Amino acid sequence: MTASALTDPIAVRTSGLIASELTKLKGSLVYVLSAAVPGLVLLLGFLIGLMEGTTAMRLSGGTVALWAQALMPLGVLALTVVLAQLEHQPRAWDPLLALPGARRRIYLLKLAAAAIVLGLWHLILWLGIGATDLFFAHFLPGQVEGRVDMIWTGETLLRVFGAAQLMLVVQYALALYFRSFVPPLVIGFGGILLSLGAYASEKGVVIPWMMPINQMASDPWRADVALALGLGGGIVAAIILQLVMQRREW
Amino acid sequence: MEWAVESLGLTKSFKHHVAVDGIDLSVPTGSIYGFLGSNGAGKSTTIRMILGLRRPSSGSISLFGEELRHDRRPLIGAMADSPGGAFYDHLSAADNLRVTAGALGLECDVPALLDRVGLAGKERQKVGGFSTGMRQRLGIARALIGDPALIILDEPLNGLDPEGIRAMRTLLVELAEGRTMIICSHLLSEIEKVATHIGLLSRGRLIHQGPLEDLRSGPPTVAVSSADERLASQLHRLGLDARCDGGAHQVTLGDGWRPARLNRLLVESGVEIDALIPRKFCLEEFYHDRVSAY
Repeated sequence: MTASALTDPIAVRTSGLIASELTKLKGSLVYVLSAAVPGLVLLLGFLIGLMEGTTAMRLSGGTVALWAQALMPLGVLALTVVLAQLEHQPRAWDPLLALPGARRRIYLLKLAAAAIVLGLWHLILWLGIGATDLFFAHFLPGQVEGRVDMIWTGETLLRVFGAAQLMLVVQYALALYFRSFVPPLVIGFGGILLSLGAYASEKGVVIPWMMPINQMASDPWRADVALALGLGGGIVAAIILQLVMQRREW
Repeated sequence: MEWAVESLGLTKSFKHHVAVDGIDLSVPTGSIYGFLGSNGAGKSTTIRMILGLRRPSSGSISLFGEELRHDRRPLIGAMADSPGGAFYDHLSAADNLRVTAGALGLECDVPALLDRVGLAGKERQKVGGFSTGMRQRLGIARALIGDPALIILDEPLNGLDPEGIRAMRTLLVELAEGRTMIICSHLLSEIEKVATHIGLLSRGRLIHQGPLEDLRSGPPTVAVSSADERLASQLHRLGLDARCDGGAHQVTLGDGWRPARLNRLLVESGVEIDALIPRKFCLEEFYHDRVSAY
């Protein structure tokens, strides 16, 4: 085994590497989170439709809004803490960090795994909204007025996902850097509370925890700025994180 | 001689503490190098620098003739942080190996690898339920991924029962064929059985390094016990290097000396000998001598 064969980016099979990161999630709390976080929002939307009746627009819009503002940021907070703890608890990362070339990609790979999980949550939510809509249409007609616009819902969720990237990187970086769940928990809750308090503020568009909910803003300019900042900022923050972490001593 | 690992003036300082103090490590290619030292001697810090987990404060490290760079390094199989290194306990043995192979971008024949370290049939068992010995073996299996030319094992014999130690010793010798192996351990008697070379670290400094064979083939020693107070002066008169250790005199016999000749001369001089025992080289004694003398 030569050094060049192992460090040559051409020889690196990115999909296999991400798959190895996803393998680590087997049997971890990430499975529970993946069921609980979108599940809770869907359950709430379903119960509101069942008990009070609603419109299709309110069913999908309300569910996405609750998701973007509260449950998804909370889920990201928990997800990043769980991912970091997997490595920190038993210094499990040491053997991997000692491997040639691993430092140059291992942090980004883990982030990619987190982004994939977050993307799956959005997909689960989208499918769940569709399933809820179908349920009411077939079994309780009239309980929900109209049909859910799945294309609008899908597009909005996609934008929410994109805008959440900076928040994801910030939470991930905090969890990873401090080797403790306390700083990411404190700052994560702070960010979520801030976003709840400053919901209507135009300036809130620059706060990472508010970027996802801003995809529901009536002003398209605000939504676009939040998306650009969330997605672009997320990419830039990920690069900075990689540069900082790969030079870190463990 | 070709060196698998060579360091020059390797130093690692922390705020108020020099953990590794200018060591010149020379690990010959193909050797089994016993890296010895007490707790806090600087072994782990040195190993972590070789593995790239810590940056040296000064000095350099070369692996197989190429200076170690942070961004371009050869594959080193490592088992650090005993017992057996850290694992993802919620994953199976096979998945733990796959995670490492995945990080390298390599295919990994998991059953063959587990079979090689004596863990055949344990692929699906979660590592959280493994015994210490099984974790040690899995750690070694992980270190073998990619068939590295250099393997570093930190305390591979820790926490094993006598049968486990014996089996592990056999395994280490088998695995060392065709590669260089550095073993850190406190079990000196075991290191003596497997190592070809040793490096002795004390308080961050390398106080001895070289082939074990050179020590074994050194001048013979005998332990002489006697209640006669004249023993010390007689040994001195004979021009022999002796030191008193726990009631017996450890005597180094130079050229032309044999235990029988020493016995005869002491008896002729009127010293009553209780016991005169030829001694073989003992790494543990050598270790304590060198560390206490340093």
